[in-house]
Amino acid sequence: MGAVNALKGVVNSLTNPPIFITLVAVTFFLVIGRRAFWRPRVGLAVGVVAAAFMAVSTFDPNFRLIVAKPDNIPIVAMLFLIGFFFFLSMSQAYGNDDRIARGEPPLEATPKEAEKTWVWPDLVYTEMVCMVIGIIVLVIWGIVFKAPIEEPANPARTPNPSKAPWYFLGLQEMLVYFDPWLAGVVFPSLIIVGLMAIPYLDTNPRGNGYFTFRERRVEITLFLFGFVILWVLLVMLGTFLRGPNWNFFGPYEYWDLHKLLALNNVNLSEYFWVKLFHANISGLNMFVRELPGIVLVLFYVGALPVLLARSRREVSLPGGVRFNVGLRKYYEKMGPWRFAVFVFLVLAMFALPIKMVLRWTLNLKYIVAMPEIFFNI
Amino acid sequence: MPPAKPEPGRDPEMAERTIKLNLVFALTSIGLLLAFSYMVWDDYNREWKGYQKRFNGLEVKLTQDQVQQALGKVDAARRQQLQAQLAQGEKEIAAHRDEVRKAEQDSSKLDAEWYRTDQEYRFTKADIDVARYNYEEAAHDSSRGAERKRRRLDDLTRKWEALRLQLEDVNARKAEAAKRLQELEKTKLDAENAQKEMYAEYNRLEEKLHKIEPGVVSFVRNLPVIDFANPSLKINQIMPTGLQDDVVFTGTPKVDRCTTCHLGIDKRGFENAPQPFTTHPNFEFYLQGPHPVEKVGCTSCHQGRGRATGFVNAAHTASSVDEEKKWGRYSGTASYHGLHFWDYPMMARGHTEAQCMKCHQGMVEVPRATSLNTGLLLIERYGCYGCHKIKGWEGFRKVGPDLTRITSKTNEEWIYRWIKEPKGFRPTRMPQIWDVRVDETAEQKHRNDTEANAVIAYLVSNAGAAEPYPPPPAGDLEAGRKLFESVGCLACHRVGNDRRGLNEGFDAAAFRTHGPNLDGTGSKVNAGWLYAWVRNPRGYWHETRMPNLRLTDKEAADVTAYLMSLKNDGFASRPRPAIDAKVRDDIVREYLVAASTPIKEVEQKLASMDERQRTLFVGEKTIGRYGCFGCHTITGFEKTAPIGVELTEEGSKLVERLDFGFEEGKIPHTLPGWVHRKLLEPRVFDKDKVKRPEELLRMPKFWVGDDEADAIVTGVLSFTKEQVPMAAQRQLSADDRFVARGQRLIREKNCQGCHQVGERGGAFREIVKANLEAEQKDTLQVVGLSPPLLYNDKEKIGEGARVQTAWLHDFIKDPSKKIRPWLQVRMPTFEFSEDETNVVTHFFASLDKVPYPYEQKPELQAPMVAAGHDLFTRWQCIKCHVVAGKLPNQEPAFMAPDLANVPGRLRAAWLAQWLADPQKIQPGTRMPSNFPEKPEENAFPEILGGDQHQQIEAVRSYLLTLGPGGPPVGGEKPKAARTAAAGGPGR
Repeated sequence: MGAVNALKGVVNSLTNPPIFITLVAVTFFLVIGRRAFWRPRVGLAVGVVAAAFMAVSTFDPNFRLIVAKPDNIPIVAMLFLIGFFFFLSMSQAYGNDDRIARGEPPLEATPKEAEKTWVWPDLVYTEMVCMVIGIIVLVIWGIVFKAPIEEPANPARTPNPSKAPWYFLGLQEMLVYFDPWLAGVVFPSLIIVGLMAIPYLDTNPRGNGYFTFRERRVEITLFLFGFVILWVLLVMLGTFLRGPNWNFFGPYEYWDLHKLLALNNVNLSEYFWVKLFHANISGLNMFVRELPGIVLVLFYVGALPVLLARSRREVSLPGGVRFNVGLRKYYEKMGPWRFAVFVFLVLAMFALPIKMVLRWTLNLKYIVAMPEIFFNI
Repeated sequence: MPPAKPEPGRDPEMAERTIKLNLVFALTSIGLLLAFSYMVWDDYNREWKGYQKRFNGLEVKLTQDQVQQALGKVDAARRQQLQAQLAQGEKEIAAHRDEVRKAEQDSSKLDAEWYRTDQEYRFTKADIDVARYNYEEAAHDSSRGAERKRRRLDDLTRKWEALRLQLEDVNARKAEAAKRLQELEKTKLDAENAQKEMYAEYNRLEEKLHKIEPGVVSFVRNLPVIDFANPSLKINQIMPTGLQDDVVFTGTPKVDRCTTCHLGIDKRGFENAPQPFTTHPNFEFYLQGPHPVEKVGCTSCHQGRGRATGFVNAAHTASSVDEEKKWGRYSGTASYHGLHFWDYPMMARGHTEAQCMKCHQGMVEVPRATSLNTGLLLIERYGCYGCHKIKGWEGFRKVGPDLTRITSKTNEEWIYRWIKEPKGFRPTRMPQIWDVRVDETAEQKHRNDTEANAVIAYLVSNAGAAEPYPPPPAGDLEAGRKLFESVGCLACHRVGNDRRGLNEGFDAAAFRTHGPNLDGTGSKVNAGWLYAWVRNPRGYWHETRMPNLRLTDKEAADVTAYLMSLKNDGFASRPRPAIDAKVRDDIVREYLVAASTPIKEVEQKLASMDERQRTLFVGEKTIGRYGCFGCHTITGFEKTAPIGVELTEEGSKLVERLDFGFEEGKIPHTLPGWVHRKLLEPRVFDKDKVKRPEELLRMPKFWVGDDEADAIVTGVLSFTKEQVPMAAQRQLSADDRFVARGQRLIREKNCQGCHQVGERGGAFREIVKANLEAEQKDTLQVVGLSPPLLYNDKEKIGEGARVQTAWLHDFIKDPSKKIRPWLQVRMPTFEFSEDETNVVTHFFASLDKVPYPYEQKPELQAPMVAAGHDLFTRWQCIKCHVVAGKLPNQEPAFMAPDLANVPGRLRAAWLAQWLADPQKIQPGTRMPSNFPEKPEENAFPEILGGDQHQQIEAVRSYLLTLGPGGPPVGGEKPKAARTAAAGGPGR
């Protein structure tokens, strides 16, 4: 029993957001470019381990309570589905890459696959069968996991934790790190605009009609990082690991209403003026006070794109991961306007992990903190 | 030309795929059918249906038993007789077969004729209505056809009249034919009717049984899908009009579906059935009668979610940890997990009366709600409102004595031992403040001693240098004891564990514990203070409820001598640890730090205080912290806000707002469970928590018992925020309001310690009885020697109907003018304000619904007065009654009030009732009932013909002529009618 509890303790501490997000992100980058990880037996092994983990964990009452909640069932299913399709597409992409390397056409271009298929029975009949199966699944799901009806809405007594619909939990998780106007308004808008802009930014014609990784490395990595790490992972975190008062709870931890966590966060201006120069900031003009943050932000969105457009340095990380820090290649390919939009969107996306890391490591609250005009970054 | 459409038959690959998909489709279709069947079944298979089926079984069984019983009641002999009669009737009919047949044929023919005529009659009536309408319209438009239409109306009317005559004729003939037939078949019909009557109960039950017994029809009616039409298993619901469930932003109409499962709730015969089928323990009162279920519903009183049809969804509340365990199966958890999405969980068993209050507002006591009334009384007695604000209770006096002059009453040695453990001295409602944690440490106890010492220092130093009372004159201890036991002290006080008159309800709520237990008084107070106190309690404390018994100096000295002899030496010699300066200084530091004193200045500040100042500082802070001033007036705390949580809406508190600490799982996870625990162990929720001294819980321990706590919980739960619409509340009449005000005062002054008012009160009778027993006298004298009954609940008559308002007013103001001077017990002087006096007089008048304050005087007739005098003499009324101060030659117990007071004191209407039947008004009175209803039983039939009413009227008339000087001049023959009152109201 003691060993089990110790193991649970390890899992609980590993799932603490700083560790958990970092671990998953690092794993993501380590794994995405390695052919060896995308073979069927590896995928099967990962799937089996994950399923076994879930199955064994359900013996823990606290784990069961959260995972088996009717609200959360689709998210559990989603995790496995995303894992499956992630793996499927990647392994097909690598399969094609191998074929291309061998001088063969991609699988989708083989004569057998290129052949026409019939509307009947291949399309319509299959669709109908799928509809029937879909209805069966939904009916049984609807019966077995009843939709919970909760208390009458009461502004004086909101549920704790107050959770957004599961598909917005990623946004809600962003609220931990950003001001509502950024996390709730600017970033969601940028996500939508950015997704809409993809066809105009990504003009790489390769990969049309077939899966490939080598030919679209940056595109796929960037997108999957944004989707899997910054969205799905945060949804999962918000669903399973955020309890009362939006406090973090490990998967085996009881959601105790009285659990306390200290949130001793500090603004950049305080780091700069108070800790560095021992100055009194209470009398400072807010623009002077926030100057370091403003400069930093302006540098990030204004100067950094220019620097990136000029440089073409390549960095290689331990583990054999190599990537370009400089984006001159892209600048040349995309032209100034398209490049500006592209870099802005990418930088905006990376603002989230950067802010996360700053929060975890430096307890940084805001880079620019101007509560006087309700403006914080 | 387009390529030919590929046909499955032509393209083998396509055919193969189609066949494969056909198979898949077939399988999924079966799957879909199964899924749909599962859906229908799941929709059909409801928790409540199982209960209904089980109840149906119980009801069928009960009805079968009842059918057997009904059959058993049928008299076998009578049944045989009726059967014989029936056979005889058949025989008779057979004998007159032709006649009978003819009569039947006649009757049948007439029926046919009646049918024709009646139909035509009715149709003509309809035609008339049409014709009238047509004519009216035409006439209004002055149309040309009007005249023609009028004629048609007239024709039809004539036809209708003729038809009516015809119909009446047919009816008459029909009746005649039927009568003839009946005469021919009389014997048989009579037997049949008698049989029907005899089997009425049986037939009714059989019919019912037939209706409820499961069979093919009910099976089909209840089949899935078909059951939309008229199933026998269906949801029952009650929709009380005007009542709503509060769902925060709005109200939704109350819909109570409780009777879907609680099927036996309003049916006799299920008293011992298992839940949920048990009959309501008092359904005549709560489902019918004053609380009809169709108007009140179920959840108005029981709370819970009325719309639910499942156990958990209805928000059932477990009343104990055991029950929570037992109910785990309903929520599918080890321990019952109730519905926490509903803000009004069902009342736990035993606390439902808490809900009475929201509709019965403004009442001091809700009739029949014993637990609630006791709970509220206990809250009042214990003075919970001193620390906990309760809306509507603000005006109440602090329950504890005034401490601003404490030094003249007692000494600090005693106070220390008292406040450390009040119950160690004598039974008391004073709670214990220190040493009552379940996890008290020795260190904590040491600190407590220091705090107690500091509190005393503060109290003593703020009591000022009161002038000491002079020592009392020497008194006779034995005479004092006798006086103490007879003059009335024991109506409110007791000594030691005296349990006379204390046997029902809780001690803390008894009339005889209204005042303090006087055990150990000699070890507590100064004799001089006591002597002054018993002579005039208000002299020392103007808010005291203790009235003045008008003791003479000698009596006061005797009583003082007796009370001073009540010692508790063991208590007085308990150790009193000296104040520990180090601990005290630590406490000073603590309070200074808690008050945000800069840490550096704490030591300076401490150093700037001398020993005494430090002690007083700790004393003041400790009193402020524990809220002693909630119950006692203490100098320096006149305006301090009370320390407790407001209780105004405590009954609506959500369970998640309660801190169960580490008691979770040991007590029910409910509001009543929490409050109950809090009352028993007020500081238990601190257990195992790491807290600074100033954060610790501080509610003192009242040492209430389990049941007592239950009653208080009911009281607390009645403080709800729920708003019942005015129309649904019980509306108090003007009289009800006066009664309520009076009840309030009566409770405050503990009138029921001596007098019985309604069902309760008169505790002092027990004392009189005990005194009589001690003297080995006849205990039948109890009624005569006790304070009178002031309201007879059974007969609904009391003091208001008896005495005139003006007299009552004067008597309450100055009770020294005694009605029965021979009584040892005294009506005390309460020093009521004029307002309070009016409250009392109005209370009695409103209770009896008699005129207030003026009343019509009866006209007196001279002959009646004379006859009355005659009866008065013959009945020898003066044998027992005092007349104008002249005492009769009797034992005190047999003496009766002065009749000279009658005109000024009694109401005329009451006199008549009293004379007719005194026992009815004052059970146990020695007054005989001399005027029987029947004249032949009358002792003096020659007077006024022995008529009860006349004779009573005569005696009353005579009595009303009496006055302070005895009978009027020449009492035998008053000159003329005169009004009676010498001192009637309206002077």
